Parts: sequence; C-alpha cells; structure tokens
Amino acid sequence: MRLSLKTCAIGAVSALALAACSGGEPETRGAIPTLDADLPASSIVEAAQKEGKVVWYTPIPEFGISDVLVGFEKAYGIKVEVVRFPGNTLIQRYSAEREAGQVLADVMHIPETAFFEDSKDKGWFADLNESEVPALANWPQQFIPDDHYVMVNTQPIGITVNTDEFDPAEVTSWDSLLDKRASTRFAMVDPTNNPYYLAWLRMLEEQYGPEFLESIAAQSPKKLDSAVPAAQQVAAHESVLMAPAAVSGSLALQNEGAPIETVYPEPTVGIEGYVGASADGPHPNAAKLFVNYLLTRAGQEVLNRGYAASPLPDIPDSIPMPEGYTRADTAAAIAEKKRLLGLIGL
Amino acid sequence: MSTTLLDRTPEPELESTPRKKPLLTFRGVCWIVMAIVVFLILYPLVRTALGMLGIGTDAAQLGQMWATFWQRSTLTMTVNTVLAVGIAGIGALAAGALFAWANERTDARLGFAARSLPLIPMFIPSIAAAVGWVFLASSNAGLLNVLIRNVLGTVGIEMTEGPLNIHSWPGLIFAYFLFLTPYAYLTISSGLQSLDPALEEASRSSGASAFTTFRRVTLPSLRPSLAASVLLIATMGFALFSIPLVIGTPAGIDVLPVEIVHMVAHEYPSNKAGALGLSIVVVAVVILCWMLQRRLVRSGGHATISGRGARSAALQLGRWRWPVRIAMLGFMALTAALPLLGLIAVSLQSYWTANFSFSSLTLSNYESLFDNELVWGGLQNSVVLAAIGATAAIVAGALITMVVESRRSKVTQTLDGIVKIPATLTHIIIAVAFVVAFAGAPFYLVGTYAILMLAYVVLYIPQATFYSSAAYHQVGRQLTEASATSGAAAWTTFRRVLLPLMAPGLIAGWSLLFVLITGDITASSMLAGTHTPVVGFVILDLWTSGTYPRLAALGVLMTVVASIVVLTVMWLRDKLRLVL
Repeated sequence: MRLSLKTCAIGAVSALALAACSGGEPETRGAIPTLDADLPASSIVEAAQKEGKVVWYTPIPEFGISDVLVGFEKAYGIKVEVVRFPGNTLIQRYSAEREAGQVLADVMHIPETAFFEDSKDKGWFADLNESEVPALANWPQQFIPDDHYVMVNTQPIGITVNTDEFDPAEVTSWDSLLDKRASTRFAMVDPTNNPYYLAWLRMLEEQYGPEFLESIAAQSPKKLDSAVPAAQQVAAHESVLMAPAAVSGSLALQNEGAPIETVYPEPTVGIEGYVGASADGPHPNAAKLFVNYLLTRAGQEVLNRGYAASPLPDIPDSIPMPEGYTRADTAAAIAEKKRLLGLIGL
Repeated sequence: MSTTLLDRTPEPELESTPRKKPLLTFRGVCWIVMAIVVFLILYPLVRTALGMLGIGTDAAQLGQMWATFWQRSTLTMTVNTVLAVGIAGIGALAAGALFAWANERTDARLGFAARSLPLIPMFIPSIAAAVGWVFLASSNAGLLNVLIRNVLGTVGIEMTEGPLNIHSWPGLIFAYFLFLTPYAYLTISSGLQSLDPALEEASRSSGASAFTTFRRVTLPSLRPSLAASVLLIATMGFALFSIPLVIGTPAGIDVLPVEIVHMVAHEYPSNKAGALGLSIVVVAVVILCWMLQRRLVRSGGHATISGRGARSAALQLGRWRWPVRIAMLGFMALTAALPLLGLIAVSLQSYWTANFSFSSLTLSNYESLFDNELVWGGLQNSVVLAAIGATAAIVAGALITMVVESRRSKVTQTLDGIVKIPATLTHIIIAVAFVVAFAGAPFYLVGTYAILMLAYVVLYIPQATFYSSAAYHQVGRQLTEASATSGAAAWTTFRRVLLPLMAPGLIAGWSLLFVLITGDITASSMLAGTHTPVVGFVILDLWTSGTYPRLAALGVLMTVVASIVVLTVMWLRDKLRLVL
C-alpha cells in the first residue's frame, strides 16, 4: 500500500509535468491582412515601438483573440498582452485598480458606454486625435460618441436554435420566441449581463408592445448566467432556442459540429464594443496605436472575423451590419431595467 | 467555568551568571500572530466601509444599502437560502454524524478508504461538481436521465423528459446536501477520534443497544463537534455561490450569495451598497449560529480526553452492519463517483450532447488544457499557494486558539469574534475590500501572489480556528494543568501535550483548507489575473466563455491533483496516530 501510493503519486505528477511542455505560436483562424495602404502613418509609431508592449483588457471570446494579437505584432512589432474577462468584471477591476492609484490596462475594451461617460471627468482615458489615430478619419462619425472612446464593432443579437428542432429558414421574426416548442425549453441569457440585452428587450417592447414580453414570460424561460452555457444547453437539446443570442456564444460549438445555428430577425440591436486608451497607462503610445489598428480595415477584419459586424463596409468574413443600424440608447434601457425585467418575469 | 493555572514556584538563585530571558515568549508570539490576523481582517473592511461612506454620495449609498435590505426580493431570497441550507443542513448533519460514528466506532467501518472517500466531494471543485450533476440530471439531455428512460423504455414505460430534474427545489437541496455533509462528517469524526470511549463501553456493558448508546451517550458528549458542525454548515451554506449559480438560477431559485456576487461583479455601476445590504442578512444568521455554538461549548458537560488514550473495540452492529455500509457506499457514489463519471463522460465529448457515442470520444479537451499556459500555470500556482496558505492558516489558527482559550476575558472573546468575521461576509466582499486596501498605497500588492495569499489566509482563518478550537476543547484543561504543574512553560505544554493531541484535528483542517483554497472561485476571480492565475480564475473563465467539455476536463484534472494530495495527507495522519 505504501509503495503503490508513492509510485502512483510520482507517476501522476510526472505525467502531468511531461504533458505540460508546450507554448508556441498562437494559431490564427485565417490569413492576416496587411495594413491599409492608403492610411497615413500615425505620429506615435516610433514611441509606441519603443514601449514594446500593450496591455489589452477585452471581453471578446477566446477564439477571436489570437488573430488580433498576431495581426498587430505583424504590423508594428509590438506584443499584446491580453486580460480577458466578462465586461462587468473588467470594469470592476479597472475601477478598483484606479481607485487604488494603479493603472495596469492600456486599452480598455468593453460592451458599454456608461463607464466611459462616467469616467470622463476623472480623465482616465486619453483624447484620440487624427494625427495619432489616423484611422479615425475614415470612421463613421455616428460611431464616435466622444473624444476619448470609439465604437469598434457590434455583435448583432439574434436567436440561436437547435437545428434538430427548428429549421433556421423558418425563424424569420421574433415571433419564433413564442413558438410552443420553446415552452419551458427557452434558454434566456440574463438580460442584466450587459446593457444591450436590456436594449434588446426595449426594442421588442417598442416593436410589439408589452404583451409580447409577457408572452415570453409565459414560455417560462430558464435564466442562464451567460451566453456560452446557454448555447451549450441548446446544442445538447436541453433547450431548443436561446435569446438574446450573439453568434460568438455558439461559434465554437458550431465548428465542433453541434446542431446549432444563429439567425437574425429584424429589427435588432447589437452588443457594441467600445475602446479607449488609458491616459496615463504603462504604455500610452502603444495604447493609441492599438486603438488605431482596431479601426483600420486590416484590424477590423481580424477583430470581427466570423462573429461581429464592422462599421466599415465590405469587411471580409464579418457578419453583415443590420440595415439602418444606429447605436442603441442604453441609458434609456438601463433606466427601465426593473420594469422590463418585471415584464419578462425575471 | 474559569480555572487558574498554578504558577511555577520560582527557582532559587544558583550561579552568578543570570539566566537569559528569552526575547520572545510563546505567549508573545501567539499575541503577535493574533494582532497580524486581526489587522488583516479589520483594515480592508474599515477602509471599504469608509470609502463607501466617505465619498460625496455617501447618503445615497447608505440609502441604497438599506433600501436593498428592506426590499421584498431580499425576503424571498433569504427564505430560499434558509430553506435550502436548513433542509439540506439537517440532512447533512444526520448523514455526517451517522457515517462518522459508523466509521469510528462500529464494525461497519470500511477502513482507510472509507475514511477518505467521504471527503472526495471536496476534491471536486463545487462548480465542477454542480456542472457534473447538470450533465447527469438535466431533464432532457441529462445522461442519467437518458439511461433511465432507455431502461424504462425496455419495460414499456415511455417518458419524453425526466424523471430527474436537477433544476428544481429537490435538485438544489440535493446538491446542497451533498456539498454540506462532508463538513459535518469531518468535524464530528475528529471529535469522535479524540473522545474517551469508556463512557460508551460502560453504556454497552449496561445493556444498551448500539443505537441507544449512540443516541444517549455519544451524541451528547460530542456537543462541541456538533456545535462546530452546525456553525460550519451555516456559514458554508450561506456563502455557497457556485452550486446555486449553476443549478438554482436556471430553476428560478434565487439565493443571497448569487445575488451578492451578481451585484458586485456583474452589475454596472457595481452595486456594492446593495450587496452589503444583503450581507447584513447573512451576518445576522451566522451570528445567531455562533452564539448557539458558544452556549453549547461553554456549558461543559462534554467528555474530554482523560489521559488514558485507550481505543475501544468496534461495536458490533449485527444485522445493521450491511445496511449502514450500503448507505455509506451509496452516498460516496452519489457525491463522488456519479458526478465524476458525468464530468469524465462530457470531457471526452467535443460538445455536450445526450447522444453519447463511444466512437466520437476525443481527448482534445485535455490536450487543449495542457496546451493552455493559463490553465497549466493556474494549476501549479494553486497547488503551491494552497499548501503555503493552508499551513499559515492552520498555524495561525492554533496560536489564536491558544490566546482565546487560555484566558477568557472580554478582550479575547472580542478578538475571537473578529477572527470569525471573514466567514460571515462573502468572499467577493473580502476580495473587493482587499483590492481597495492592499492594491495601492501604501502596500502596492496589486497583481501579486502576496495579495492572493493574504486573502486566502483571511478567508479561511475562521475554518482554521473552528478546527483548532474544537480540537482544543476535546483535549480539555486537565492535561494542560497537569503539564503546567509539572513545571513546563507554555511553549513546552503546547509542543508536547496540546499539539500531539490536537494533531488529528489540525491535519484534518489542513487538508480541508488546502482543498478549499485550490477550489476557491470568488476571491480568485477578483484578485487573480493573467500574471497570477489560479484554478478558480481559470474555471470561472471556462464557465463564462469556454465550453462544458473543457470545463469538465479541468474539473477531472483538479480532482486527480487534489485527491492525490489529500490522500497522501490522510495516510500521513494515520501513520502519526499509530506512533502516538
């Protein structure tokens, strides 16, 4: 007994240790496009390259990260260090660090605007101008809310269905949410997770009236804490559909061959991603250069590949931007949060 | 009841060379450790409280805190939490006591394996165990349900869903019961191991049956352990966040800890005031349990080790022997084997599906874990941090117990209360308080292992003191007094009398703390990062943005690592006991 236990322990630990060897180049999901030829160079490229690194706080799914990292390094030779958390956790972390007198993030990338608005007086984020961030010149004005932050993309919100239960072609409008097949088998992502889910509820109410939300409540939706568990419920056929659904939650599953697909009824809103560069971060120039990269056509292609829509037209591999898309009024949605949640019974 | 230790008679002056006074007495060291721990507990909380009240919107924050406290939904959540913890806790106490007694006192004992197996549920991080049960007992796609439906189908009973549904009240209470029983088991079995069996033997030789002896002699003598159990069940149950997150929320059952974490970590702006409002309820409940524990311990009337150290012969259970054994084995299957099987099954799939086919199994999820620097670094860091942290906490806990128990004054009782504070506040609040207090000036510990280590010690000091306190009470005063009368200094008494006798309880506590720290999620999500990843951080990352199969694979991996560690410790503990 004594010998076998020891041998077991040693064997197990060595096996784990041996298996741990790798690291290596991150894999990209596609080719890395070269930087836009027609853009003027930023005035801070050299300063940024001297800094050598940029720390990026972002909530985008894991599969979307390596393309951006490889792309930026290819373009400028600057390494990107990623801190990936859900948006609210990033805000919590950044705020706590700031309150403690520390700035650890260079670029803050989150799916909301309130944080950037609230921190304007505190001067946490640098103003972005066209000499340092030349890609701003080509950026649609409606997606530049203020001097210190920019909307970089949006993930249209739709319905993710189990294709063994629903033919995606038959899901053409939000009425599919009230399908009787979805009764008690409706996976709903917690709408308080980000303001765009609330904006989605508000959009549904504006389009179809509060009775529509009450009918959703009658389906007894199961509240899931976030998008990926909800998508997995649908893939396993434990639930038959999921909403509000951005395709990023289910893309990995789809690629594994799960019977799951996302459709986008109209009208819809999207989960908007906003970035800002810390005013006095550890690598301030690299931060602004990174923001610039995200706004170039090359950056947009690697950022949005397969799961998000770009404000720029004709970006390959991206989700089409919904017709007539305008930025959602999240302040109004947040103000009505209690009422909207009450209507859908959560 | 206060007793005074006899003073040492002063030695006559012998030589001209004066006896060197030690720079630091044992008592001094105990008080210094106590002071450090109290500082680590109070300083972050006071700074957070001041920050909440001191900035411009202080009236609004205060208002929001009380508004949340008085809300209707707070009452609903409190009722839900009390019901879940209460019903499951009663079951856990009964099961834990029964199994502990069966293994320590009767011939239904299943040996070394049986003593460690009931602890296995702690080796699986509670979030992974909860996910394991979701895989098994989801009403449509649950693997166990599919199996049962197939079996029932062969005898002609057709069901389209169920029969089990983990996302329901019975499912949630079941999961709580599985989670809480090991805590009850651990405290009670520690107590039984140190108990003088003479009383029980006297009862049996007077003709009482095994169960009557258990009910009328063993149980009352175990009062300190039972009281510690109740308090531990209440605090662990009220702070439990991962099980109700995974199982309760989809069932529409909202409990306090999940809402507290949600308010702090998932709402923007972060609703710390609301979270504190809900925490008031949690604090109130735990203080009630704590007062109950102190009353039970103070009244004495419990058996202590009287210095004879004899082990009793195993009680013959007769026809009850195998039913008890089957109950134990059944429990171990439910808590350990089944969810682990569920995890293994899903970890070998490319995505969770009820259509389990052996041909599509893959090891790619495990490969992706090993390829992942974050996961690998997290595992290593967690093991190291947990080993150091558990040791620091248990040592500090033992020294604190020396301070608190050696002289019962208002001061020591207050300090004892302070040391228990981290148990009443959820880990997320402690973590936020730690960021505010230690991340910046004047400590600058942000993004370091030090802040994680300090947080773990602070978070689990209450458990450490429960164990050392219960272990100390089982030893009793007579032995320490005998040692002092024989001329030993405090340090010698501690080293040669108390420590060896408290050792089984302390080692049990160490292994529990090790497992708790490696499985910690809420503090890790706030204080760990890509520079200092730990397993809790990685698991939460996988839950929110990874796939179930990879989460399952990590859960299986964690179980293997933690099991190896704890089994090694239990084996060592057995060896130590034999030597004593």
